[in-house]
Formats: sequence, structure tokens, C-alpha cells
Amino acid sequence: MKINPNLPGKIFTSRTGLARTLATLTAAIALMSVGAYFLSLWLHDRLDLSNELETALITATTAFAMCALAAAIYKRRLADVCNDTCQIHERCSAQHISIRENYHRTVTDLSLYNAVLSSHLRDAIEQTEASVLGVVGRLVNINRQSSFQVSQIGTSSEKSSELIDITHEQVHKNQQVIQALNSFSASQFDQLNDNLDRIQSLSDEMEQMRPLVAVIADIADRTNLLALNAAIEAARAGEAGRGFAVVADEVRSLSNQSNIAAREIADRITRVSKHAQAETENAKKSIANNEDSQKFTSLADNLSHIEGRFKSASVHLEEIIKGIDEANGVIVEEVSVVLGEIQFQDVLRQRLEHVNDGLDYQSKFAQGTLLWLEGKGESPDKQLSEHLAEAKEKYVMQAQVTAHDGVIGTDAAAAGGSFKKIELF
Amino acid sequence: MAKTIMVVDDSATMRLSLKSALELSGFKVECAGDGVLALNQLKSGVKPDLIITDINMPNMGGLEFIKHLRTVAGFRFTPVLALTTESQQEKRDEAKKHGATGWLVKPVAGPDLVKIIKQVLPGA
Repeated sequence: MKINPNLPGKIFTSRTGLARTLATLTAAIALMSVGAYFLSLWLHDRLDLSNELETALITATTAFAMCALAAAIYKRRLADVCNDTCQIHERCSAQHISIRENYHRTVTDLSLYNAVLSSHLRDAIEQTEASVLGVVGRLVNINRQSSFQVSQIGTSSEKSSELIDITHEQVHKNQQVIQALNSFSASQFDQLNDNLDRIQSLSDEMEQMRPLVAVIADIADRTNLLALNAAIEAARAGEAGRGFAVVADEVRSLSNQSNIAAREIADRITRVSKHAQAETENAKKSIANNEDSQKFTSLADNLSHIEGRFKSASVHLEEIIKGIDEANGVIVEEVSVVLGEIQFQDVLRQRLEHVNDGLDYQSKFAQGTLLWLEGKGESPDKQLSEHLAEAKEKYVMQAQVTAHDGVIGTDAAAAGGSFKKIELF
Repeated sequence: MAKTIMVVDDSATMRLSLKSALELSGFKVECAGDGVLALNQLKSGVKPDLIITDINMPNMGGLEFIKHLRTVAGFRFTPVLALTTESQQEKRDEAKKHGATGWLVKPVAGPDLVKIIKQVLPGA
């Protein structure tokens, strides 16, 4: 609602009213002058008065008429002004009541409005705090899970390393056994070679006996021939050679047996020699193939291969664990940074608490002003501007001062903008 | 052996975030909601190697806490870092006068905080 600017108690409320009054007065003066002229003519014809008396009478009459006219005009204007004043007063009273009602409603609404805003801000602070606490809790949980996994992997790694060490040790032992077996095999091989050499030597020696057997057979044949000649000679000698004939028969019998024994020895030498030859050939073939040694070497190679694969797996596993450890380190670093940044909530909370204090004071100020307007109390001892200046003194953050000065328009923001974030005394 | 750090702050967010960040770096952490509670803990046997305190707290603020702390036996030379939103030089000077070791304005990133702690707490 707009307030009427025309205040009551003024006679001339505008230039138009003044001009109208002056015009009325001028017309009345002109009329008076004309009346005075005709009055002077009438007095001059009817009464025989002196000139001075006539002039004085006309002047007095004119003055009286003018005063009466002015009084009439003033009275009329006074009535108009009174009327106007009453109307304005009525309008002002209505306006005042309306303003007061409006202000009362505004103050009530403002308090309620501020209370709602404060409640929203407090809720927002509480919700932010609860959410941030939840975020921190989850971050900590993530980190715990990550650390647990790394620990589990570390344990697995240790177990794997143990297994690899055991396998490595076992392979080493197996290799020692294989080495011993190889040595044994080599020793057996050498021994077998020696045996074979000896058999070969025996076989050779037996072969060398073959000519002797032939000599024996030849001697037997010759002895048989001699025995036959002796028997012939004994027959020629007659009775005297009978005993010699018996000896000749015996000698021939012995030579036959010697011949048979010589052939048998030759046969046996042949058989033994062939058998020894065959065994020697087989043994030599086996030695040439070196099968056992090859088997041992193959086994040793396999074991070395297994050990190599275990070592490779171990190195790969260690690389994976190292990678996971590094990734976990990055996670820990990031979580630590985020936990630091979460401190914004406390900064925000403190700023919003200042805003809440301001809203509370604004409500109290409006209530005080209303009581004062209703005549129920003193006017507030501080204006809002004074309270705003005091609020600035209570700021704790440079950001608050900067924001304040940015609105108020002082140069303090530029003056106090720099400070050390971290300072060790 | 892990060093013990006491965190004194009225904000639950600050207490939890600092405790978590410091525990990640291998510290043992004790927490208190204001200066009075912190002094009670110290008198009941908690023996931190370093204290991180807020400045604006109910019941007993950080400056008063530092002042009282220096009169408690065994804590005359314990390093105290003020971690606050306060940026006014007068408050810093007052903290220094009462025996604070350093002044940190929130928010401070976890790694930066750990770096400062290691600087004032050799062997941490």
C-alpha cells in the first residue's frame, strides 16, 4: 500500500489553490474599487460632506468590506482545509492500521520464514555430517578390505614361496640322487667294460687253445697210426709179439679216446667262445646305447624343467603381488587425500552456523521493532547494520571476511587475503 | 612401536576423518570432543606422543586447552598442532604464546598432515 504524501494542517495545499485565492482577492478588490467609486458619487450628491471626511468614510467602508470579504474567503478555505484534513486523517488512520497489520504479519511471517530456513540449514548440516560420516566409514571399510586382500595375497605368496622352496629343495635332492645314480651307473659301466674285456680276453685265450687241441688230435691220430703199425709188427712177431699187440691195442684205444676228447674240447671251446662273443656283443650294444644313463639324464632334465617352471611361477607371482601392493598403496594415498578433503564439512558447518545466527538475530530484531511500533517496548538497541559489523568481528575464516567485504564493498578483502595455511612455530 | 596421536575436535566428521587418515599411516589414535574431555583422558593415563586440537570448541576451546595442558605433568613439551578454520593472526600468536607447536588451517590433506607430523615427531 502506498502512503499519501499530502499531510494534514496546511491551508494551501498546492500552487493552484494559492492562485485561485489571489484571483478571488484581486476580483474582490476590483469590485470594492468600483463600489467605492459609486459610493463616493452618491455621497457627493446626497450629503454635503467635506472632502477629507468623504475620503475617510469611503476608505473605512472599503476596508471594512475588504476585511469582511477576506474573512469570508478565509472561513471558506478553513472549512475546506478542515474537511481535507479530516479526510486525510481518516485515510491515514486506515493506512496506519493496515501498515501495522501488514508489518505484524510480515514480522510473524519473517520469524516463521527464518525459523524454517534455520531448520533447513540445521537439517542440511546434520544430513551432510551423517553422509560424510557414512562416506568416511565406507572409505575406511574399502581400505580395510583392500588391506585384507593384500594380506591374504601376502600369506598365499608366503605359502607359495614355501612350496617353491620345498620343491626347489626336493628337486635339488633328487638331482643329488640322480648324480649319485649317474656316478653309480658310470662306475657300473666301467666295471662292465672291464668284465667284458676280461671275458673277451678269456675267449681269446680259449681260441688260442684251439690249435693245441688240433695238435692233440694230430698226436692222437699219429699215436693211433703208430699203434696200428705196432699191432702189425706184433702180428708179424707171432707169439712173441702177442703182449706187444695188447699194448698196441691199448695205445690205439687211448689215442682214439684222446682224439674224441680233443674234438669234444674243440667243440666246447667253439660253443663257449661263441656264447661269450654273443654276450659281449649284446653288452657292448647296451653300453653303446647307454640307456640307463640316458634315462637318468632325462629324469634330471625333467626335474630341472619343473624347477625352472616353479621359479618362473614364483617370479610371476611376486610381480603380481608387487603390483597389487603398489595399487593398494595408491588406494591408501587417495583415501588419505579424500579423508582430508572431507574436512570441508566442518568448514561448511561453521559458516552455516554463522548464517543461522544471523537469521535468528534478524527475527529478534523484527520482533523488537514490532513491539516498539505497538508501544510495548523500546526500540532495538542495535540496527541491523551495526549487528552486521559485529558479526564480521566474529568471523573465524578469511573466506567469511572476503565474502562479507565483497558485498559491503570495503577494501579489507584485498588487505587480508593472504595467510599461511600451515605454519610451524 | 606405533606413535599415539590425540585428536581433540567437537566435530564428529573431523574426529573420524583424522582418526581414519592417521590410522592408515600407522598411528594409534585417541579422540576427545573438547578440551575438558581431553584433559580428563590425559589425567586418566592416556599418553599421546602428539596432540592435534581444534580451536573453537564448546566447554573448553583449543587455546585454553593448550594453556592447561602445559601445566599437566608429563605434557609440558608434548607437541601440539592447532587444526582449525581460524585464520586470524592474533589467535595464532596467542596459541604460540601458550606453547602450540604449529598452526594448520582446515582443510588439510591427509598426506600433508602426515608430513607435518613426521616433521614435529622424529621417528614417527
